[in-house]
Amino acid sequence: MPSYKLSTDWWAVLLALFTAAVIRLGFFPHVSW
Amino acid sequence: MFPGNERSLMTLTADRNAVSQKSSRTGLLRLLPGVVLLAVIGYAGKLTEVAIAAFGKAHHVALPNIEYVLWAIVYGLIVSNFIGLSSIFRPGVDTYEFWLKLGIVFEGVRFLLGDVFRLGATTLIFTSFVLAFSIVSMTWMGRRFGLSEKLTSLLAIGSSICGVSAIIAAKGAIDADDDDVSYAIGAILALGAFSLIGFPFIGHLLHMSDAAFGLWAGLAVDNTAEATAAGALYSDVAAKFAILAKTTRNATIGFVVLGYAIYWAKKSGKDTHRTLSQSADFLWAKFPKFVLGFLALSLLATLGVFSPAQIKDMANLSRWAFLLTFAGVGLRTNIRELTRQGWKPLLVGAVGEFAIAAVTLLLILIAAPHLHL
Repeated sequence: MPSYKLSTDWWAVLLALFTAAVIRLGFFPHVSW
Repeated sequence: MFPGNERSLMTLTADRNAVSQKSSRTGLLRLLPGVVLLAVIGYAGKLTEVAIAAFGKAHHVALPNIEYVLWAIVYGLIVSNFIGLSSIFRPGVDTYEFWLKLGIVFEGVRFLLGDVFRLGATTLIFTSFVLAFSIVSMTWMGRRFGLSEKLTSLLAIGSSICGVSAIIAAKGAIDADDDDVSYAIGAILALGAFSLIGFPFIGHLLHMSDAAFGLWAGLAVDNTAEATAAGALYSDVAAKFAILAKTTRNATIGFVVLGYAIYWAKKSGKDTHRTLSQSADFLWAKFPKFVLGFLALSLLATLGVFSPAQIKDMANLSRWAFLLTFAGVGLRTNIRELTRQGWKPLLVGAVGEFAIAAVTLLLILIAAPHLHL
């Protein structure tokens, strides 16, 4: 079986881009600081 | 194939799938206690900043604004050095680098792509100065103090590029001893802790602009987490510049490590013949991929894909991710371990770092008026 293990770098990129897409579509709650 | 065998094969595959699903689930579960600890410590830091500001306002006292960054690091240091970190927290605490990378990728939306390239080019020019200077000075210092040549190489790589990850990348490439690696990492971490106090102090003393200070922190502080923290301790804008400068510096990691690998291979008489594609593979393997995410979000923001409110949401997400990172910086700094490693590598590291910080500061102070920083 080929290994599909992603490095933390790629996980960080994927999670950020996915979140950005969800925010763009308006499904993400407003984030305050 | 006999039906019986087929069934047993299917059962075996199903079992394997169940085991791998279970192990990835337990893998995530193992991270949970440490991640919760990072969040609790980071949030405690944020609450402390808010509480002090509120106290000052209510009692009409002018209290210095100490950023949550410092509180999160201090609380982390207290927990790891005085209370002790149980082993169940370790896997989760080690994720602090993931949160750092996530935070940096989100920071991409705060930059227009043109600015990234303009500032990136400036940073690259500075970085090549810093690189040349740190390699020459560390090598000279290492020889004077009789450190092994490989330890000196590691210290030079660590102080010029990006601390721990550069040292680990170089370890395999130059076949260094584990002891040398832990010395070099210890020295770099100890100096990183110092830079958190020293850099903002000097920045305020010299009335540096946010941009100039951020550039300085990004160029001279070794670890990405500490460089970001030093920038954030100065101001939000300084943090933004520190991240950009540091990210550009990180992107050069492959080239420097490759250079060192070829040098050491030549020295030990190994075959140095590397084809172009092998070198390209090596450079790609060492390239910090999160930089691509940073550039992608910067491109999307430049194209106007996000509204100002959405950009603010992502910038805030980035701060939350950094909150976990800063807690991790404190938690993984073990003072006893640092002192156990002997004073020589620390001294070589410290003198070299001070020299690098001073040279970079000088470069920035000279260039700042011309670059409108």
